[in-house]
Amino acid sequence: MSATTFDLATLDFDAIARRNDQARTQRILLFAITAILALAWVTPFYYLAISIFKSNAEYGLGNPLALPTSITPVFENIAEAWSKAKMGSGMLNSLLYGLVGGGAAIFIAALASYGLTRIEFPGKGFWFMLIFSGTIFPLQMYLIPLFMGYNKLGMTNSRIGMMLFYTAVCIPFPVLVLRNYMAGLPREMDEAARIDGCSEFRIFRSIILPNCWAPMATLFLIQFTWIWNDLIFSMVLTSREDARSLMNGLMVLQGSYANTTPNVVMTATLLASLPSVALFLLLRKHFMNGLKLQSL
Amino acid sequence: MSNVTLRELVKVYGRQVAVKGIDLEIEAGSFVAFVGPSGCGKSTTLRMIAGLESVSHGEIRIGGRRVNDVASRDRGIAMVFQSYALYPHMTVYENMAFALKVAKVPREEIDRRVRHAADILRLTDYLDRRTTALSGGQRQRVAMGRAIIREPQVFLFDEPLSNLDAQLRSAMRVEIKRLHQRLGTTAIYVTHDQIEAMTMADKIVIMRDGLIEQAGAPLDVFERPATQFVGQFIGSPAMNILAGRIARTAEGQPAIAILNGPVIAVDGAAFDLPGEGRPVSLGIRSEDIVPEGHGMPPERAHRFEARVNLTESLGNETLIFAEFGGADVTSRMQRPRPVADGETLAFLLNQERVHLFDADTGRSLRR
Ligand SMILES: Nc1ncnc2c1ncn2[C@@H]1O[C@H](COP(=O)(O)OP(=O)(O)OP(=O)(O)O)[C@@H](O)[C@H]1O
Ligand SMILES: [Mg+2]
Repeated sequence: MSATTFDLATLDFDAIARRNDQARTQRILLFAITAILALAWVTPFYYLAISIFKSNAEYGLGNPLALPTSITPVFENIAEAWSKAKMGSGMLNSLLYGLVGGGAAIFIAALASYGLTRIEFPGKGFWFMLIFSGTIFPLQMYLIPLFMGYNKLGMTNSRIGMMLFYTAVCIPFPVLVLRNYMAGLPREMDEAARIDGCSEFRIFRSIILPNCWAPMATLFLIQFTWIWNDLIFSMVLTSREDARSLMNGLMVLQGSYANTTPNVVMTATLLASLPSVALFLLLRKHFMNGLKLQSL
Repeated sequence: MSNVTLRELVKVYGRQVAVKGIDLEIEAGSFVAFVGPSGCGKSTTLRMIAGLESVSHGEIRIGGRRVNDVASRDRGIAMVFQSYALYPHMTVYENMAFALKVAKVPREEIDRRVRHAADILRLTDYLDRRTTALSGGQRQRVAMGRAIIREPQVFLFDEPLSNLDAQLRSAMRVEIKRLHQRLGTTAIYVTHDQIEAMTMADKIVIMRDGLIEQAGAPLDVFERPATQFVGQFIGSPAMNILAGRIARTAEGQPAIAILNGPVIAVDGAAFDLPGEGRPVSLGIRSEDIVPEGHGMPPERAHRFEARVNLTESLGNETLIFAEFGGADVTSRMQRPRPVADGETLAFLLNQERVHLFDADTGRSLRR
């Protein structure tokens, strides 16, 4: 032990206390600001949460921010929302579009990324830029040509048409992510697999894909949610009920009932958001792993 | 086990030539080490043998069969990579079983072979672990297990130990050697560590700049380096090189006049000496410059005194860097005593252990 030459008696305790105080007032101020922001953020949720427990009459009479008197009206609201917005068929359609469109897009993107990172072919850079350009332009740009084309092909109001469209627009972004991710997976791993006897597709299936679950799950969730929430393309490309997506149905409901029964409309929107939330919880583990590269 | 024959092997990347024509015969069951400085084409050669790189020109034969256009998986080879290249989403067991699974070997047979390999490599307790949960040495053994399970004709190793710490490396060195003795499979081993090459191989191939500089048994390469490059590359610390000219001693014996240094007599019968006055490089290993009083004095020695510039103490010996003939030379002091920088010591240079190289081509002048 070396003896310290510092004399504790010379320490300015007051100055240190003042510095600490200053830090505390700063923290309090910061907390106040965050609290206000949080309140602003939470209020709509609160509004939504209480409104769905109110009957139409209760909603109309009392203060909109008052607590509901009982929770039973929620069942009535759900039933009404479900039937008025035709949520059954809408939900099935949206589920179909989200699962098939998102799933197919991610799978095709994974195939493309494998090719772009593992197979030598001429014009590789060009093909990648071509796919990549799909993420640059705003999607709305495709709206009119797409509508006209679909009209000509008789593919409006068709489930197949919608799935095709969603698959196509959901490919470029995952290619961007997966290409980078796969490029980071060690080449020696697939060389080892090649020596172990794998064909090109077997390497993709048995070695590369299993190491890409985390980003693929994340991408799937993002694309699924986008498809689920898409309104504009659904509205332009479908009008009939049998191919209409849930959001499209909600839009119609909103148009006709927002003024008379807003509590029902709100219940419907909440119901409509449940599948995305459920999917998130389901894929949470992969999602949290996120884009963390795990390799040897 | 199979023999491997390389004939006029060339690899070009665009206009750049990475391997410039290699001829080599690797006997069945032998352990051959490729050494050489970074970028000399060792890995490229190995990867051509593995079928991971195409052959630009020349021929590879494994067990007499030309394999230039045969897929990796059908060449009867197995490879251990520097990074191990284990499959991170599989357990140790699955990693080892994978090749057999792809080959549709029956399940019981796979199980028997995996357990046998695990037994050899002391991996039995780890079979159910993910490879991410293993230490470096254990991963290394899994990589070996994955290779031996296929019962290949030829093992290929690309710097398999360079990611391990020194202690583990020497342990694995022994383990690989023992494995080779046990299995008898032909092994081709790439390394830039000449100690690995010296200790493990039956035959060392020293490469430089895409060409084979010398191939031979380890001791042979050490004792009779074909070029100055080999002399300096093999052996640690590197061989001392002194510039000089052909001369004669006062008695008329063949000798080398070191530039700015003394005249050192050499054995005229051992070398093809060019005419007097021609420049040569004299090579002498550090263990052949003995500080007087430390170790056996050589029979025919050239004694000189020199100032010590620097010392490196390794415990059992000390490396002494001293000035001699206008150059820095390294000497090995056995049973060391403390030496101060700047001290003047007497050294004995063993004249019988001198190597001579052509000053221009670097070729050895030994008969
Ligand atoms: N895919 C490639 N494209 C272009 N040049 C390459 C390629 N692979 C290797 N080279 C070149 O070929 C030469 C030999 O490389 P190689 O990997 O065989 O060296 P090495 O002897 O294994 O070196 P190290 O000890 O560093 O591993 C180097 O000059 C390298 O730059
Ligand atoms: Mg290499």
